[in-house]
Amino acid sequence: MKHTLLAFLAIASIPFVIAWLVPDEHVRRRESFRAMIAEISSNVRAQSSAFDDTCINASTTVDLTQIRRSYEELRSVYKSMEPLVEYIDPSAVSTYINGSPLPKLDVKSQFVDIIEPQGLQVIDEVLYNDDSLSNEDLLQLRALSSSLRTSMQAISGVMISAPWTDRMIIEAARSGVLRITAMGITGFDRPASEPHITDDIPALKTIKRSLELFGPALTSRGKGALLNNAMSLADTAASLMNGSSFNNIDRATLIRTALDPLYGRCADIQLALEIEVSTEIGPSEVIVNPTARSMFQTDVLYPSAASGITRVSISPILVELGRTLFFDPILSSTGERACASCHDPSRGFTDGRTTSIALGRGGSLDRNAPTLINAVHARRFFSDLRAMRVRDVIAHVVTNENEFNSTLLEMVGRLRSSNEYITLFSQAFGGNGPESVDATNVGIAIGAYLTTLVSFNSRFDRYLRGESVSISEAERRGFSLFMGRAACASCHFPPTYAGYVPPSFTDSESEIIGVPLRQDTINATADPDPGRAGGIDRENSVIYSGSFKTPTVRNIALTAPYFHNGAYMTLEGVVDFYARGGGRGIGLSVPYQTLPFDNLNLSVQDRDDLVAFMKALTDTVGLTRRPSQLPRMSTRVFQKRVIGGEY
Amino acid sequence: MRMLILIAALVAATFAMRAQDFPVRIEPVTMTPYLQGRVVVPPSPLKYQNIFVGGVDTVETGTGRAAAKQWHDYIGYVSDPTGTSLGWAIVNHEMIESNDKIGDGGGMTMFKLGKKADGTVEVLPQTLSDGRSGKFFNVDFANTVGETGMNCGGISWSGRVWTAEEWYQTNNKAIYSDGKGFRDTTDFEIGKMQPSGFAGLDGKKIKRYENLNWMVEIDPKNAKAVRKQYNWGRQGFEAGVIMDDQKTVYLFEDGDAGKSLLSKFVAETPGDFTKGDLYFYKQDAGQFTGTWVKVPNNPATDWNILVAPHAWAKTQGITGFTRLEWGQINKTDGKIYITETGNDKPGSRYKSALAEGWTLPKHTYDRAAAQGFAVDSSAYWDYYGRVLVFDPTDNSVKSYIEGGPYITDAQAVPGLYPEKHLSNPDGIGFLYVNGKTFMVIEEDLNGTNFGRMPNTGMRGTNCEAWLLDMSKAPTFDNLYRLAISPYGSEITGFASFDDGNTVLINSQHPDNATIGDAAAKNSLTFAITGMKQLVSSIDKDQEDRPQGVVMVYPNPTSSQLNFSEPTDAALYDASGARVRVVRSATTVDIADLASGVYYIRTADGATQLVVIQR
Repeated sequence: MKHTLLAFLAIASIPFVIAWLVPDEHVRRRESFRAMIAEISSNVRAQSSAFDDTCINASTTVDLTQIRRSYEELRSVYKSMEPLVEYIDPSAVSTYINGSPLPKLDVKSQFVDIIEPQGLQVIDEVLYNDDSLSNEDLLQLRALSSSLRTSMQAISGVMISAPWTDRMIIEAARSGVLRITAMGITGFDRPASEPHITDDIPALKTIKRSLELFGPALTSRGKGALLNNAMSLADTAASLMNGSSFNNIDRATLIRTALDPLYGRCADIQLALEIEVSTEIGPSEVIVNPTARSMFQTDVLYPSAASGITRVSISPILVELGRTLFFDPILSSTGERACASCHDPSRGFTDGRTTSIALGRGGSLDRNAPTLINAVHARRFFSDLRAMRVRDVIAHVVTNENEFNSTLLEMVGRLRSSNEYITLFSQAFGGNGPESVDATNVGIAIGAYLTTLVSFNSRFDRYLRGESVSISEAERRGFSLFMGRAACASCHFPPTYAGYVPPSFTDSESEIIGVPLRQDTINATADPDPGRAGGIDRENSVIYSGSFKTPTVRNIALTAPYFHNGAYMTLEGVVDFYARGGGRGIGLSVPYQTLPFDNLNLSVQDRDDLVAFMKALTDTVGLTRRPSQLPRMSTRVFQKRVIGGEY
Repeated sequence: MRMLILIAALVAATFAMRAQDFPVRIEPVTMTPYLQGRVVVPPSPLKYQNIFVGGVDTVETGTGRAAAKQWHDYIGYVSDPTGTSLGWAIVNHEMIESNDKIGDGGGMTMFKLGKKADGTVEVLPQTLSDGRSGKFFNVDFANTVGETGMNCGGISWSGRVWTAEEWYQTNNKAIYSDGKGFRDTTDFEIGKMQPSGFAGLDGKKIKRYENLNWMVEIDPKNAKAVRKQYNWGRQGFEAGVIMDDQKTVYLFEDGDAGKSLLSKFVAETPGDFTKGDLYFYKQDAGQFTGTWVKVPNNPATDWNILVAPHAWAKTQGITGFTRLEWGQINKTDGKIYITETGNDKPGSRYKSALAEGWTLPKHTYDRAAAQGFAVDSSAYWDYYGRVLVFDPTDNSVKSYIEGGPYITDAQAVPGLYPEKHLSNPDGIGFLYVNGKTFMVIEEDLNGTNFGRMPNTGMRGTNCEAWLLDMSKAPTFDNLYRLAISPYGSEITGFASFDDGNTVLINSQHPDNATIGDAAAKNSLTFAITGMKQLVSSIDKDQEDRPQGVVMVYPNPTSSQLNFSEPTDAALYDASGARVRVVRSATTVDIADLASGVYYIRTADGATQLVVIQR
């Protein structure tokens, strides 16, 4: 019997051995890919050296035009490398090559050490903030250009020596399409110079060349049409860009007819060739669903590791337990309030109040209750980003005297006094008896429930992913403004329209925008809330003073009032605040404001269009179901609880 | 059994019909066993064991049991002179939390190790002098010498252990941490709970934060705090070394870049470290050699200097290192090897240090010159750090092995990510086995960029522990990969027992919150036994790796599969669906897959049945 099996396996494996003896098309593909990389890195080396030399040789008075031209040339060749290096070494890109021009903290230092930004975007500000170059500017520029030159050579080294596989080549291309869509066409990385909608054409060309490498393999499998389609989609994107301008391009059409289908086609090619996808590599975290056909589909992102849940560990029974806990006021010391008290499904999981009512109705909390929809895509939680995990959020809420005013032990004790809860926990966690009810498992269950509160199915999403729905002209214009001239998407990145940074979504951003204490543009008063600087101790720095998590714009029609302090009641008011240049624009002193503080010059129609677009992002279908009953207590206390809390 | 085989054959038939092509092949490049969800060590002859799991194992506090703290770092150790056990280990917890049972702040956990007949180890039950009984014991700092925080490195010497706290504190608000840290921020009265051991100091009241960041002596066998070493100065200490003269102590600070101290203390009487002189290192201009500058260090009279020694040091032109981590003496050559972790672009830090009056070491100037930048230029980089060597005979400090390699476009070989990349060395130790001396270097990555991770498009980090045979040149080629810790974690702590045959290592703060068993999810102390056989086989392993048939083991398995050589491989479930693909790998993490029958196909074309069984 054993021999039969071995013989069977030997026979079964013959075709594969033969397959490997055939001269591999992958060898040719790899050689072509390496040649492309070599060409790109040599262009980047030449231009970063030329730019550095230009800066070194320049004198202040005459050479600004020449330096700017050299910078544009460098930027253009860098764009052709960007899809590859952004994929292979995203940290080096954001820290030294093309990260935002804002100071950051050294997370590995035991001190609160500020790291000054470097790279193309800082150079952009030095070169374009005004039309002159002081001696000081030039010194700064030289330091930046020599550092950039070194960084470019090092990142090229990483790119060349990387163990590129077919999976990585296709995923880099795919990630590049996402980056162009979510950031490139927003003018995100030109903080001072005039953005051009054609800026990303070199990146598009590299994506096209990468996919083209798979042409022979696809053809030999009779799937050549896939590649032809991908090529024509890339061409369509380029011709739409070439035929328009940054302010006039119809971004909805660009995405619907070219970029989004191109994103899907990358996955089609990968699957057609049976190339492994990132979820097959191991159990480590994968954030972007490698097989999603659209950037705007419901499961385009997996829950982040911060949710405490992985894509493989979510079960319906766990979700139901989490839902029950979410609506059960047993988590609070008085049995009056549940998570749903402040996160009401009918209001997009907010409570409609400026700031929420405190437990016992004795006053109110410090901040506005945020929506929980798409919260599992965050890396950190609360407006001040102080919590790293969903279970930590729950611990904060349970122990806060104005929220649940309890302790984790007391909460577990209350849950354990219900035999029905003990049974539910035992079923969900495979444990036995009261031991399976503990604070960690409460966090995991609620985290599992939160993973179901995902919204990427608004009419606007469906339009962008090519379905037969229509959008109004106001919404269409509003989207282009949001993603362009009004500069909203440079912080509220699609597809979440929150501060979850594409294309890797490994970071949740916060911004200092200077929201006043009350909506008042004439006599604005500063809000003393320290924000992120008052969050975790290691971030107690001026660069985070008044900095708050960038929330999602999805479902914003349901979640008024707005901002961390709920100071603004209407979207029109919010748009006006931004149009005036945030806190600095209305006369507040906000030294580290991260929002551009110049007037956006938005017309009345522009403002109406923006609001129309934002209101088209509503989608809570299937998210609002409440449990029909709560588990019974085995003792007399807390027998009559109200589902979702009393108030 | 026959039934099982029958089922397997049927399953195999199904599989063959549905089998997909092996994913398009790429030329194997290097051994890149990264993004591991659990600790990986070389297979046979080594034996691997989980010994102490944070948050899961419980400590005896004297007033009941409590879940042990996490964030395992340094491992102090004491051999058992009687030979009836291997000895005692005491693990630092590099964290701050409020904890009613164990005490606020960081802490330490002690246990005793026994050797089993099969050569593996076990934690032995003990009863301590204070009456506590059990297997794991915390050290009470809060009610003795005052709290500690972020216990990181330390010193083990002659049955005594010191613990260090690198997290340098400057105010009470930070240590209070909204009630999550040190809840008691009233002034601390030295000597009130336990005499300090320093003349004229007891009764002095200091700010609570000022009682942190001193080296603290521990009685390891009794899990008791002995004293805070107020006469060594208050620094962001990471580690130290005590010399054979029983008087000289060298201390290493993980402080601010360009302002981290190298200190020396010389006791008046051998073994009594409460009296003696303190010195800071000042390198001679343009030379590797240096001199020691005496620091006023009577705690009763020089308190203001000792409590904030950097303010004094900068007025003396003391040499500021980047960030010194652990140091250890190599007993074979008498030199002290110290890790300096690096700082991506330290130029602005150095500018500030130079302006304050510090001097920088020659190896830093030399590196900057080689890059063509001034040392305080924002372009000067130091991504990977290094191991320094300090020679007590001439007081020289030089670079011993630089981290890296640093690969630019000019040096890169297409597709050849270096098989060995030494990044941000942190922990260090020596292993003396079979007449040979090995340095153990442990990484704590400061970042992933510029080659510190192979960057295969997957996120996360793995840190590695390396062995370096000290009889060979300090090159990357001569590094031997001893262990990889789970992603998100730092590999740290090193203690060796039983003539080096058994070592303990920590996996600190893995980021693997929901996958696998407790040992993969929590900070962990693990043991590797069989080092004697390993070191005699290292050279052989390095030179003639078996070629040809790939062996897959163990089978059945519960958490991972190993290959006898790096290979591409694909794992299929019983229905023929592909569930895992690895490239040029020596292991596959399968901890998340359900129990059952699977098939693995390796690059040599062979397919075999494997069973996952838990």
